[in-house]
Amino acid sequence: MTETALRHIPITPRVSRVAEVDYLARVEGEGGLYVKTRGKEVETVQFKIFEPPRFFEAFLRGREHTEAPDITSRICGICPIAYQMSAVQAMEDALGVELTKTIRDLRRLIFCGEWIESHALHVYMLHAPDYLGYDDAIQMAAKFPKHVTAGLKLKKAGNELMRFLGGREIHPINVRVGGFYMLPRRPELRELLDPMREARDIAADTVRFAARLPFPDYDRDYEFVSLTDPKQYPINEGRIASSQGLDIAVGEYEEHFEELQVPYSNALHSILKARGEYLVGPAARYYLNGDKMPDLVKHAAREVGFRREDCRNPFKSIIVRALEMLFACEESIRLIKEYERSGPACVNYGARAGVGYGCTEAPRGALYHRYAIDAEGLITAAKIVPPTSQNQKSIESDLSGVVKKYISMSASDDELRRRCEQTVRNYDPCISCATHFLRLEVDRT
Amino acid sequence: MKKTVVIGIGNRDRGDDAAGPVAAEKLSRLPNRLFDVIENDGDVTKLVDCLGIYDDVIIVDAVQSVAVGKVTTWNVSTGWLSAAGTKRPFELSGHLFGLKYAIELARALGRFPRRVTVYGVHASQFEFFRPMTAEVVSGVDRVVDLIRAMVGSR
Repeated sequence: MTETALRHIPITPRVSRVAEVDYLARVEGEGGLYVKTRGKEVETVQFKIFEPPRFFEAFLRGREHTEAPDITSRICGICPIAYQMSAVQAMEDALGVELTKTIRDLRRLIFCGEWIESHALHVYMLHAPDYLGYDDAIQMAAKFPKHVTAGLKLKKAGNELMRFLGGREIHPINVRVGGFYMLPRRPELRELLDPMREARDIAADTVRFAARLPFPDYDRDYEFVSLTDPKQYPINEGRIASSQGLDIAVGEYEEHFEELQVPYSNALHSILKARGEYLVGPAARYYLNGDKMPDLVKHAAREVGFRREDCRNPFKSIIVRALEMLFACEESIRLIKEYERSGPACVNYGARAGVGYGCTEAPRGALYHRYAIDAEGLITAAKIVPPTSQNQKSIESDLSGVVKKYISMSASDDELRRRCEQTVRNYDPCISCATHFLRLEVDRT
Repeated sequence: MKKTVVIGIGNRDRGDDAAGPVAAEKLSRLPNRLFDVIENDGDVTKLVDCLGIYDDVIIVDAVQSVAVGKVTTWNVSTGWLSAAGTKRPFELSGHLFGLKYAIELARALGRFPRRVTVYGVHASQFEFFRPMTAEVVSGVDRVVDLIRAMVGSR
């Protein structure tokens, strides 16, 4: 829900403006924005989010370790696979489980499905309308029906992959600690090849569509953080690295990152202990790992003139998501072709006490889990740090920069609200699912 | 084009949000029924698909309201109407996008059935892993009876 004061008020040098933002009514979170300006200067920006995973961390205590993937998949309806993958990875780390190549490849494949459906939803339903001047995809559909229809088809292809491998799209049921409950049959899996090839063509068109959108001229020098893998574009395995030289094992995460309580928000803010705010997500992944993209994706990026340095303009993250969709389609085709049903669906392991760490790349960025389990396999402690939480400080900094830019251009309250919403949607946070999520009240006193 | 479908929308894990799927499940068990039945967990793409391939679409969904257990019917074949007692029905949603969003998206894409009817079961409890409230359970039973009368059976 949004309520805005649609007034244009001229800037006067010594006039103070205060934006009191109430909580945003949302499905997977609530957000609010407080902005105080004086003349053309932005004095304060506060971005508030209610953080749902804290409830789940408490809820997991005392549960069987085997329940973690099923419980955590309920945290987010858009990226349940990421939560399941980080959970099982952490449990397998605690229990000393070694997976087979088949299981690892299938996990990468189902993750591709989630990247495709999440990015397709974001690009066509959430973010593209911002660039084209529409309130929502419904308005956009009237003028761009082929594009919106193609976007829905792309999402459907990703959903189908998740459903086939996971049992269902929302809260998949086939993922377990040690592997899966069932392995697919090769002929049945190969039936997904043709739909995935069609999805790949749509994804290639999406890159060209996204690259033609009008982008605000805005960039910052971020510290990008993501998984890295020397052999492939990272999805669900690797070390944690940054553009400022960080290179650590997943188990060292809490030695370098911490969460802070801020007085104006229920959500914790994540920072790098050494340097403060950082950014996770597609731009971070591409900046750090773009050289590991397959040739098809590299060619698509060159074709539209997208360079690694463009990752510093957050409004161009929509192009990166399109490139990642193309990658996920191409990678899915490779993994489906190479699949051989061999070995068990789930490797055997024994319960033991321990602490385990997991980090995978949700569509929105790195998702960290840590669990402690006792000798009976019960969870005694849980910590979950979602990508949206990690990006909050960066979101605030971007909002501050964007507000300053547009106030200096004498933007009206309505235009300011639109730009702020677009800025937040650059991060594809879960709170951006509603059409108008940002309640921005500008008090220019 | 296929004839008639009943779509129960909702998340079975979230209290009263299970109203749609539970209604769909009850209707799926009717013998000799003249309609298809689909459970939808809230995915807008699947809903838009259904609206494009059926002639007559009946949707059951929970609607947030203080009049818990009440059943309201909307005919949205030609446009969206709001009913008294519900504030902006189906615009806020537990299903990522509201039902209204999916319906209007299908309409904007030119893929729309001859008739779309929405049965809303008024509800207020949407917490994870809680059962449906007793009033909503009764409301679901009333919806099932209404739909049986509407589309009949052989």
